[in-house]
Amino acid sequence: MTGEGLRVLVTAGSSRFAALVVTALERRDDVATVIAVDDRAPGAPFARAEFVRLGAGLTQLPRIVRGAAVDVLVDVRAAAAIAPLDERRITGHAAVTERVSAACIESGSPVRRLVTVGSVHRHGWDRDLPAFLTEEIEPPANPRGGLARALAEIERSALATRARRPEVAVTTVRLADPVGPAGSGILQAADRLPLLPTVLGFDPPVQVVHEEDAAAAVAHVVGERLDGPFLVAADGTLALSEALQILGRAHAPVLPPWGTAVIAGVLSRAGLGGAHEIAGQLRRGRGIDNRRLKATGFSYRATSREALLTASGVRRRRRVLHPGVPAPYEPEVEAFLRYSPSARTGDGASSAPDEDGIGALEGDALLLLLPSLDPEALRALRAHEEAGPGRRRVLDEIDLLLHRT
Amino acid sequence: MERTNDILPVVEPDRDLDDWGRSARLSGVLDRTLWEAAHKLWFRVELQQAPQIPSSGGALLIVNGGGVVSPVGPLLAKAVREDHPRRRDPRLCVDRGLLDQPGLAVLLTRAGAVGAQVDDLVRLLGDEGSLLVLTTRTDRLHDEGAKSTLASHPAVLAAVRTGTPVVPVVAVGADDAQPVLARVPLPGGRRLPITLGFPHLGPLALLAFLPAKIRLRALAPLTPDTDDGTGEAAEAERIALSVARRLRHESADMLHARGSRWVG
Repeated sequence: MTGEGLRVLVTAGSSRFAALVVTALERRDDVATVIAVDDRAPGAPFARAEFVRLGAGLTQLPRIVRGAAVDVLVDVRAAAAIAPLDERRITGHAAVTERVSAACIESGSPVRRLVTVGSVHRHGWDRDLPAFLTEEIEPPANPRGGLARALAEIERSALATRARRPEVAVTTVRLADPVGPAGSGILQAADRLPLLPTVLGFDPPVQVVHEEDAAAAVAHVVGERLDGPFLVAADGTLALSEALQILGRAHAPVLPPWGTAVIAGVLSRAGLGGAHEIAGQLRRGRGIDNRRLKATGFSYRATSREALLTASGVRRRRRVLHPGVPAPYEPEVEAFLRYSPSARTGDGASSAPDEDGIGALEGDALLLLLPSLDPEALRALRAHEEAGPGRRRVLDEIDLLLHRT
Repeated sequence: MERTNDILPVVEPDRDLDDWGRSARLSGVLDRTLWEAAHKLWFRVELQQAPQIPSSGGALLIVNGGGVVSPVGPLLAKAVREDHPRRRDPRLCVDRGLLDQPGLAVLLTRAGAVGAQVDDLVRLLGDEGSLLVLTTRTDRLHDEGAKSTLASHPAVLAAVRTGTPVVPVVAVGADDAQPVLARVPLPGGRRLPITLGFPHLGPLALLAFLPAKIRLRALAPLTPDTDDGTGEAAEAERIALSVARRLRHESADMLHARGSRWVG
């Protein structure tokens, strides 16, 4: 690896999640260069990273990797496709997976680490799984459902890469459903439907992660050069009914408790993306043990509940279910601003609008959380609120709680 | 790297549910109503030698007198909450099949039960330092029964893996509260118990208990030890046999000393 910092390449650069990962990498001092690639243009320009648009199948990826002397290849395709439950995009992964593998194993490849970012859906929903998944639990070799199978193939390809070139370290990151303004997984399904049908007699556990935390976790794994599998999920396992209540979504327990797998199979064949994953979440759910990553020094900014509160607040405010359209990415504009002698200063463009992030708790959501904070945290929050938005209701509530303690 | 039990998930005290799905509100209501009445009025439960139960850290309490409709597990949990010097709050370990049944899955989880799964129980006993109650049937306390059921039970394996103390608790009177009249063989080797109220009263059988006095006695804890190279399975078998024998002998002594099964 180069002495001045890591040179990182991120795939699926046009996706929202990849943009967040790029932003998190840009903020790290130990990362010198970030390059994002994809076959589509990103939604917004990056601050420091460069974007390279490749043709379908990313056939030129090995050239880019060699040409930019990339140390770390971060493959976030799976996570980027899982977030919107885009089953077709992930099940058609074979060509790109081959290019990623080739970029790592071909002779003279500068890649020293391959980070594969997938999903905990890789573990499936077997009834024998523990209530809390850990990294020690081996995922099934032949999981059910198109998404889980595709995730398994991508991970297998990464392991095969290491087998062929042992000096390449492989890190596997499996994310819980990331939540943010765009929603994800079962919660996105809840957003799309006026009434979410749930399984009669079950209220399964749900654990999510805020998308910014998920991106920061990926950047942490890259920057700290961590090996092996890591599960990424925020603290706090909620019940499904609790999660839907936070999101302000209605649900009705109308699905039969038996035969959900059969129904999911039929729906999957009918073209409903992620049917097996939705059925598994509605019937069994899962908790995730996130302690291995925390033990490496990573800390989550939001619990599952805070992540959902933030996301629901942002969505209510914006009245849309997608992350919106920020300043469009125009390659010529980017080239001019970065390389033309006429350009004097950057325009401060950023791919991750902060107003939708973890710090975007609305006043009402924040008021709900205040009783759970200790006096020291309340005082710190008061100082922050006073220096920032200065909402009178929030300040008064903090004063009241401090007075009581 | 930090120790994993130092970085357990943060607790959000204003939430009703904990990470295992236990509802503070529901378990509190059950404790103040159903279990209070059963403990103080109906069964007049008496917990002897409560200080044998560790005051801190994880421990597995194995109590005899269990069965499909036996109340001895929740009654032991209630007795520990009432009579233990530190008033600790144990969780119940139940068959995972029960947590796969509609309705029961929610009710048992909200009441604080956890499924018998080794990895989960390792976390509960080792990392979270919880008390766990496991019930076992009195007619399976013979050596062969202990080897075939208790020794391979996930809770015992988890206790061995984490080096958690195992406390045998003798229950006298639990089997008299709803005596088993017969056992009907079922496919798969299981046997359905026929009691005064089960199965013909259905769920109402849960309320059809005779008012037998229940005496519980905690015995000295056994600490699993695999440091000398003993395998987990062998140590689990040793613990299971030791627990079963002590429960058998102590239970015989207590029955011998007992006057009436209704007034103790």
